Amino acid sequence: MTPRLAAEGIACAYGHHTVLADFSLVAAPGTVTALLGPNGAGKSTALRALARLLRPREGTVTLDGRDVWQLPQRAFVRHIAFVPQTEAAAWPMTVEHAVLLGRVPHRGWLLPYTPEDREALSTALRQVDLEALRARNLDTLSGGERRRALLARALAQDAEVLLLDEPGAHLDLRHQVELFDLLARLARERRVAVVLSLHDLNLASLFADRAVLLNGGRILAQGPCQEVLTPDLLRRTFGIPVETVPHPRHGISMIFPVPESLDDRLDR
Amino acid sequence: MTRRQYLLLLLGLGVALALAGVWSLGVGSTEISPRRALAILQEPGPSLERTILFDLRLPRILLAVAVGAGLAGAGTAYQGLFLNPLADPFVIGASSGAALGATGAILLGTGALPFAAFLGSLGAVGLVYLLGGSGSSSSPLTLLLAGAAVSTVVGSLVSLLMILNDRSLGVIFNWLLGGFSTATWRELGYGAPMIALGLAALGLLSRPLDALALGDDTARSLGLSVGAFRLAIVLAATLTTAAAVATAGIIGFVGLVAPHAARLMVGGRNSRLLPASCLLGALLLLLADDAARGLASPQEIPVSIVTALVGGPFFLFLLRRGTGGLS
Repeated sequence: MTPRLAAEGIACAYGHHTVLADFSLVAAPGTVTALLGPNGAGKSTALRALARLLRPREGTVTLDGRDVWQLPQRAFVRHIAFVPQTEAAAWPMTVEHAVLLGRVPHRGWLLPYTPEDREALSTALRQVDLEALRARNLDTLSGGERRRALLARALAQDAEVLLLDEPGAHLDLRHQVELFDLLARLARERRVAVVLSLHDLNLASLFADRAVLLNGGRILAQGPCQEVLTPDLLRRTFGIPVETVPHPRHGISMIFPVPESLDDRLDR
Repeated sequence: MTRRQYLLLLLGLGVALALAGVWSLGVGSTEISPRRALAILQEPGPSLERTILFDLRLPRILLAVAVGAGLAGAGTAYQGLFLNPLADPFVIGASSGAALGATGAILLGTGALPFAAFLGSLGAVGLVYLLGGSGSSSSPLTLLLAGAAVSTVVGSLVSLLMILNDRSLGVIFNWLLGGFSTATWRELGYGAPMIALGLAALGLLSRPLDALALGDDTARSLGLSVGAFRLAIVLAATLTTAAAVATAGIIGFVGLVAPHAARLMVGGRNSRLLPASCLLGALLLLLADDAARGLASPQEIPVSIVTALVGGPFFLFLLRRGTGGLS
């Protein structure tokens, strides 16, 4: 059974500066949840708290009802994979080796990798379309390729919950769509719970089941995407007017900003 | 680099080291050809040449190999720990800390010199670690400054101790100057096992070192107890450094040059990097020691001067390349 990761009324602070307050969320199996909001809204902090990297000041993060800080770290990381926003290897390291590190939660820090690990490696690389680059060093890859390598490591980890901080950043249109298709498929077919932060509202609308709107460290609204991604709520989240129109093929909301300068430019 | 290429490289380095070892038997104020040396070692019965070879040159060669491997392995680990290509036992103060510990032990007349060196070394590294920050917050410059500051303070403490105890001045000075000219089987007997122990521990820690290279968040989300493993790595690398310093004094730059050259050859994966780096460090220090006793023969140059003459410019070259040239 897929374990349930949940945050219940958590608050996080760096020093005296509170960056997240009264945040609750359930990473439900089989769903993709998008954390949306302006820069500094607390998206990354929420993900880090869920990933057991940041201990909340208040509230608890639970896995199957048990406080994650009471669980052994090893038990936690077998179920939960986290991909940070940026990651730079300090030394030249091949894609293959970096992705294999995702097998550590299962293999440990000493034992040699097994054929099963190699299999997971190949599958993960195929899923993110990086097979051709497996022997390349990470520092020779483009930004998008590196992001896909990070995702491959999370996939090789074979976790039931994926926590991804801006997985779509730096990706070209095709790889963006393929990546989100893959995440949606993992949710549907393998009951994986995906929680991710992103800035592209239309990608959220196209691929996420649920959305959480954050501003100033607080949740403004959360619920099914089509109920939350409304002009009114989005204006309150981002502080600028937006309009929505139905997607030409699927009818779901597409979001468009309404910039002031556009009037001037088109009048001219 | 494929596994096959890697193993061939290790084999090549191993053969080069063995050849250099045999050749080194012949280097020194008494001329003995390598072929003759091998023959003498197999002949039974005492002779002057046999004594020179067996009691002077052989332990000296083996100790240079052990210390070279130890410094290179410790350098690799410190670089991985501080995520900093300029870290090495000398630069981050581990060597001078060991020297302070050892000086204290000499003055107190205790026999626990290696242990005192270990404690001193640990104290200095801990201080640099606290001052210079670690992980993502450490810039190469902060680390260098912290290392330089701690080394200077520790170095002046050593000088102070020497001046206050001028009867032991000669002993301490000779010891500090280091080198392998006084190498004995006894030194090899305690130095080599300590180094081997430290290096074996580092070998077991190579996968955690890989994970640390990807940053703390990533290492933690792979299940690494970052704090505990950092401590384990510091302890192992510092044990290795202390053993090297206790037997051979302060020798700089081997722990900087060898990991870099090895990384260029085999990449950053520590399970491959450590063995290659150790073999290379052993080879470099052995050749440096040959130069130390051969270049101005019969006069000997301290080997630390040879390594500094070669390593210093290399260090500046890395510094000029910005963060230290990672690829």
